[in-house]
Amino acid sequence: MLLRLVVFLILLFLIGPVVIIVLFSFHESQSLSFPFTGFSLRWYSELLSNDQLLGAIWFSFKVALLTSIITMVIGTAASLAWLRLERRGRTILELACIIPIALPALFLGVSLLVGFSQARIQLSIWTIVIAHTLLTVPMVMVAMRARLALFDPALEEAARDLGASTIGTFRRVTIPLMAPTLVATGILAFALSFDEFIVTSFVSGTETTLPMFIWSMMRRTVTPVINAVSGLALAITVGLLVVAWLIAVRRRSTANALANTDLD
Amino acid sequence: MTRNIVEIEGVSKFFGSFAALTNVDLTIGEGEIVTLLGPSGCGKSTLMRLVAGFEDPTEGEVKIAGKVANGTPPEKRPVNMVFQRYALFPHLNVFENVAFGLRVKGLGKADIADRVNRMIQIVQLEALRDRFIDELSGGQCQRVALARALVNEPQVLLLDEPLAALDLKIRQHMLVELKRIHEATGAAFLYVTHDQDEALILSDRIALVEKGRIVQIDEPHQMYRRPRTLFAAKFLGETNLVEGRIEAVGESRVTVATRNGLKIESAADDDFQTDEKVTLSIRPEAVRFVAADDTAACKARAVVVSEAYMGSRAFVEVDLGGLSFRVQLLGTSRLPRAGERVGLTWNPEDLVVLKR
Repeated sequence: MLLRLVVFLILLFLIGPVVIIVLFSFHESQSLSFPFTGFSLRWYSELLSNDQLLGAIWFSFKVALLTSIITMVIGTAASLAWLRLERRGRTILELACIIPIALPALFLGVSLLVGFSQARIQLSIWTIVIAHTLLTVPMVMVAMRARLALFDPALEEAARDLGASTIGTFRRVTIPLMAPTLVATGILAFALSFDEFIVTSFVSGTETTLPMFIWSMMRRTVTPVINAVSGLALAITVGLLVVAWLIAVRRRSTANALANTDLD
Repeated sequence: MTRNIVEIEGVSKFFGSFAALTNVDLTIGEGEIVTLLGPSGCGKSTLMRLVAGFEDPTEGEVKIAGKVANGTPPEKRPVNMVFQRYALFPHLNVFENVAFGLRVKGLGKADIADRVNRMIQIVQLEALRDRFIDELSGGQCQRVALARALVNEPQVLLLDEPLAALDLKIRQHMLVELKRIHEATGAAFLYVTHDQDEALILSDRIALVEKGRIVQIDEPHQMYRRPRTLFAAKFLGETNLVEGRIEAVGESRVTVATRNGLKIESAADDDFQTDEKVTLSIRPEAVRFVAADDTAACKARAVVVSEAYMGSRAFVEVDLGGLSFRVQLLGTSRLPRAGERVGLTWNPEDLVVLKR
């Protein structure tokens, strides 16, 4: 009984603010406290008319999309390397992956900023993407490791034995088998990048991502538009999760299609 | 004499300083079933992987269909393999698994469907054509793995302990199936196993592997009846081993004096010197009981220690002047009781003398 109560309280603590923010994003009045006086889409329409805010959302979206694509490419390459490495190599790769996660974000931000300026690289969307990729690739590798450990190397040997070249094996067996994990990690990378704040603030230069925009907005006034922005961000995240889930469900048919399309 | 489809000549394989295979010679004839039999870690799987192309020999040559295959990648060899845990593609259904090799070769759709369906029929999986691999039982996976390999019409089918993951009952059934499929396709089989029963039932010839060397190649009954080494005698079936010295040497016959004073006459396949230390191998089923006082027939007297009745057969443990001896009887024969004095006899032709 006590256990259930604890679980319930923790869930309430976690979900409560989400519910409240979503609820108040539809609140008709300026007030951020109860009583709730009525529903309105006022803050969402205000959001849509705020060009700066829309710009920041679009910018964050671009950063997150680029980051997730680059992360998937690097993550695939690193995973394949992991599969082919001996134990010592694997340990080294894993340690290399932990370092960016373990470093304080503050330190990472400063060192990246110094690094970019030493290399005379102009701060731009690309420096942000590089910084985000540095954070997401290790995360993705950690998430992928469990799946990779289950990968049976005999499957690749079987494909070779049946006449597939190295590239054919990669396309017909390795990629289709890794695809669900890859897509899931891509989505994870997108989510991580979309709301990254600390490192971004060091390397963004004149650009403004959504979290930075919200931060600067809140320093001035607390407006319910922020609730609407949060609601929107939540909707995007949930939407992505649904997509990931649909891909997982349709795994087989997509994998089948992937394996059978004749590209050569 | 049929043509040899695989010729392995003087092959050695080192992993670092570890010699997995040492100077191995082996041939496989067209349509022949050759079994590599040996305990785990003896190098039999490595030898198979050399034929498949996953490894290359450190020394020596592997010839397939008359051509040296050293350095040829697995996808370019006219051999296909059935993997130990099948290695079926989990993202494809049964049909697509079987079709894999043909699709890679770029055959036409109709041709593929034709050949795959015929192969699925041979392994009797028609009802499961559209199932995915995780919806199949172990025995069914086994059939898919066989079909997936055989649909490519390999000149040699390599089977790496294909029945190891199956239950005893299904294993016996699959052995019969393997023989049937072998006859239906006519491919040569190179079969790796550590299970002597599988080897005896299936093989045209057995190659016994010990510590990276082939110690004997023979037909199953010859391998069982005339083992050339102590290892072979112990690895195939059960046997009673008796240590002794050569007392007399005759025309393909020797007399062995045992430690407990018995003089046993045996057939001899090797050249022996008088006084040489040897081990006699006497199979439990080669020994028969006679009346203890029948001096004409009786070759040794013993006391029954225990008996175990197993239906179709029975085992009797006897004490032969300090030597423990196991005798196998048909289940229909009279079982002597513990404590009973019995006489033992055997045919010298069924005995084997082995150098120590």
